[in-house]
Amino acid sequence: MNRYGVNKVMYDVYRDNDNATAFTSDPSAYLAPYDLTDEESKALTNRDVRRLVEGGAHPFLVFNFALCLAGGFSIEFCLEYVNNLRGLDVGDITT
Amino acid sequence: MARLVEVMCAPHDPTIPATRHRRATLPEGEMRTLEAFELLQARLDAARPDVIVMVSGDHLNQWFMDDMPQFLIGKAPRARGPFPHERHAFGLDDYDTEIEGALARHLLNKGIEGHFDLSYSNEFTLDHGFVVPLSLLRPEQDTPVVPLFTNVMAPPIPPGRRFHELGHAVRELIEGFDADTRVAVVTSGHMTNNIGGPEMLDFAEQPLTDWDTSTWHRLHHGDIGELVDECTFDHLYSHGHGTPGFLDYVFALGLVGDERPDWSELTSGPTQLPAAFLQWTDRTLNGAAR
Repeated sequence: MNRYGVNKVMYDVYRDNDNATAFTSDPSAYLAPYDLTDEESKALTNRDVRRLVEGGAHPFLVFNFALCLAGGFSIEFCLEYVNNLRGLDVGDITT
Repeated sequence: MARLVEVMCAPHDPTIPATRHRRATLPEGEMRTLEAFELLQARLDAARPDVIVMVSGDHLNQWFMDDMPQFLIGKAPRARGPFPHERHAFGLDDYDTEIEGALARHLLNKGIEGHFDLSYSNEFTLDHGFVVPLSLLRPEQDTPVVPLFTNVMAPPIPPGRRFHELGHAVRELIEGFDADTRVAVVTSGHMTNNIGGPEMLDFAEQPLTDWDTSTWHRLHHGDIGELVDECTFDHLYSHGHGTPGFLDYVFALGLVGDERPDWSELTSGPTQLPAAFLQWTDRTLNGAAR
């Protein structure tokens, strides 16, 4: 996985409300300018946190990305997030 | 010359400030966390610092892998935060205070004359790593700060030995600042941490890991040099991908030399991250005679 590219998308989305809105309304159009494989785009579009973390995306960025798209912090959000990662090992996150 | 009058280490979990609004129903660990902040707030007030050097990691909010500083001095006219998305997600209040520009430039210029290639910036926002401890320790927002950003999240990350050396150097630089200034240093980091990873909520079952317990013991009774040497990124990362945040406590160990903390508390519980508080007083830092 192109960790840098995937990390950059998530960073751009959670830090900027307009980007988050654009990503939510049309993920394909939003992701088009980024240098991503189809699989990377799919993982981001599907908000597939398991695939993202498995591929070496920075877990903190994945969390912030998912949190931003979920609309706010809650225990329920955290439980669902962790449930999606069950059994994974966090490996190398170097970009 | 300037005097180091207080050193504190405190956590920055962004869910802590909101717990002030539900004191009546707080679990014991979270109440102890709030009370520890309140105690340190009073002690910081009593220390009457003219400036607070605030040391913390940014959480991939201000700095990103496109341009990542390892250690950076903020020398803008003002320090402001947090980011809008942090305000929205956690209900954090804004923090806005003056930056003590003369001390910021002194640390930068003299640090670079030594062997620390400090970065600097005039444009930045403080994220929760700074805003949470500042808002709980100095809610008045009336004390100038010098922000020192550390990279504890995006490898490569300097080993603990370098954080320790920088802490030692910053103390010398503070004490060489040619002004009658009372300086407090607050560093913010944490113990084991897995935010965003599969073990993120493991504290619900095990509030403190063996690493938390043994590290806490070693901070008070162990060989500090050995602990510092052990704190490489890989080692800390093996105890949780966020655990390298402990490096900002290692920075504080460099500031205080061989002195053990005057006061400390490690709070934990099934609803919170482990939260470590350490404090060194003027008397311990400078000896009774000075």
